[in-house]
Amino acid sequence: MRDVLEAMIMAHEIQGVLALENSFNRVGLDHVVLVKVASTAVVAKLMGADREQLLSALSHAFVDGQSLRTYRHAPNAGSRKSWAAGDATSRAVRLADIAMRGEMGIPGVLSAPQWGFYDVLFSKTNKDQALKPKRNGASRSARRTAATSWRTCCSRSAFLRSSTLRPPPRLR
Amino acid sequence: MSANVDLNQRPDYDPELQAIADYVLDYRVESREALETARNCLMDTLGCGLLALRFPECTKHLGPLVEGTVVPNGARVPGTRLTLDPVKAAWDIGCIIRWLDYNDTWLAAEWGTPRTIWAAFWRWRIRSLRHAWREERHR
Repeated sequence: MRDVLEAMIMAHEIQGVLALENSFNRVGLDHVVLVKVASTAVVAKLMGADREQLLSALSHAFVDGQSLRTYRHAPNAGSRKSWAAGDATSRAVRLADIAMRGEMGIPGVLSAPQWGFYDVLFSKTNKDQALKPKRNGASRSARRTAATSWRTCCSRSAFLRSSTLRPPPRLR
Repeated sequence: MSANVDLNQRPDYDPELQAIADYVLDYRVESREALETARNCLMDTLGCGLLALRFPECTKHLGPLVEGTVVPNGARVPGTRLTLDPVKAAWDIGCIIRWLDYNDTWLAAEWGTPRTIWAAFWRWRIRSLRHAWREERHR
């Protein structure tokens, strides 16, 4: 029982300290990301993770796409906010399990230039991001996407079939 | 070659992640007050979860993905008959204990309600309790 209480304290501590100086709502993300990160850390510990497994689990928590905060605000406020945290804890259990099986982590998940969490999700407020041209702003229609992926998929498999006898293509 | 591809020399883990990992691995909670508060928090959280079971909008979310699934070593969801795999159990417990929004809030640069984390512990709570009982019996 003491392990559980200790884990609770640590989880509160991690979430609290991260929340002190980092505002996720400024970038449009829901603070439930903190529940996931803190839960992942302590759940992995309770499962008996070593340092490498713990770091792997934590890095996977950050590499997940994070929830949009929109379910807490008009016009979208709704009951997802009541299960958002449950969702995050269950993900934490899943990620800890993945890490416990020896899955490699993502060491530069936060800081990697261009592709890391900071550059992709945390360096611009949702107000000051440069907007893409309107026609590129939303995802394209499903039909078009499906057609494109089919084409790509088919041509790739055709390529794979034929490429066994050819030299590999030059990188551009 | 490096003009064509990005180098993939893996760096060490980001220091923020290392700080969290080292904290959970090395820190020992000594404060009696913190432990006592955590115990109260646990009770209160359980209460919030049990009360939420009166609300069909909440309970419609509970239960296994496939009706009738039996998980022999699964985790219980308090106040229900459910024994689920740990991932869905954590989901269900997290859902019930936060449903009514009665919980405390931590206000800082980011607002949040950290105690849902508790949902993830339930499984180990049960297991550690069982373990403790077993040890007790063997003595």
